[in-house]
Amino acid sequence: MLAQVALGNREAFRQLYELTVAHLFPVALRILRHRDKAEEALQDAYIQIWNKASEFHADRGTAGAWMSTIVRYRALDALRRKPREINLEELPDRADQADDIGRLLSGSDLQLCMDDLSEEQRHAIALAYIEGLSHSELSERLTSPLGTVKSWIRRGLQSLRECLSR
Amino acid sequence: MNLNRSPLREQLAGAYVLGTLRGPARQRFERAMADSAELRDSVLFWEQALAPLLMRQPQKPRRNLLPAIEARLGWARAEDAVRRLPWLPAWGFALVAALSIMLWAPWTPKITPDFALTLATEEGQARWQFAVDKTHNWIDVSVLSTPDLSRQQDLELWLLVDGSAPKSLGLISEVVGARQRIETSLPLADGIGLAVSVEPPGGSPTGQATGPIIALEKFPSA
Repeated sequence: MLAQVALGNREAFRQLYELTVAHLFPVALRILRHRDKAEEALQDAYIQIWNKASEFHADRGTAGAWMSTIVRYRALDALRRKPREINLEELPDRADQADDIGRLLSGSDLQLCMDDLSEEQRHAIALAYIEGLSHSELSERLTSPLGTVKSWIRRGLQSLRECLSR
Repeated sequence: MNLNRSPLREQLAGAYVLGTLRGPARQRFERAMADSAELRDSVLFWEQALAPLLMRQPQKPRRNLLPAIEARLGWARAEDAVRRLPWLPAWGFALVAALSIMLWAPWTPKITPDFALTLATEEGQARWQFAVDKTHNWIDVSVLSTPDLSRQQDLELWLLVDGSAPKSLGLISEVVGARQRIETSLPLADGIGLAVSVEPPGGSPTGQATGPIIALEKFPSA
């Protein structure tokens, strides 16, 4: 379908939207924690998907990963333009955080490699990625010093890289 | 596996994808990425590796974003896009239109606008009231309420035209209660509706809507 979109097929783009919007919206919402802002970031993302569809190559990953990556970057852009205010309503449930990660990834290479990390490293990387938290926000959320958090991320990335290349 | 991978490059690419690489360092990295296929490969590796973490319980946005996306892409089916928007009940619209004309009357005593139009958010909050004179090519704007904007954002008004991209009518005020008249060389008679988008300061740099469209309404006769 992305190939059709790359050729400029508008109907394919509309179908792609219908098929993917419910999967991509939560990606933006987790980062921005604000429905209107998440919807705006999603508009930006779909426009980029339309414009860049020809740059997607199936041999370099899945279409879902490509699209959700675009949504993440647009949400991070929105965050940089206007940092979020704490919005208690949209804060994720506690239960949805650490232990959930294992279930999400069950069976994937990423899961095996995430399992190799220390719990702190795993948690810090997942929070940074899923919620778009900065080092200082992570330090606050995990009630740990900034330097410690930075080293969790650095060592976590290093171990992940080594593990995923095996 | 490439044994020559530089650990530093992998760290930076990982931090870039994770989002913890911020500020000027992030911009420097993006510039370096444009010149280096190796760096782009490292970034792609991390993007693909971490993407499974994004799988979530599906959740739809409250409104259908497709009409706004299509309008921003300048697709010809603007009319179609407008049709997909939830409509105010017709009597409500007529009431608003009638009230608006009454309200506008004292302010523009000599020339009566052809019609009035109110743009509201999806949640139904009225944002702007327009009085449109197609013959003399002006639009009066009255700001009823404003969205939450940062200092780096301006509001731009667009004329929706059937068969081509929306055309800019300029920036509109962000001050509640403000009134301004936009006189334009664009033939308003060719327009089918109005839309407002959020743009960088000074308006869209490309001449097309680059930011999200936050409200859109068709002309009553279109």
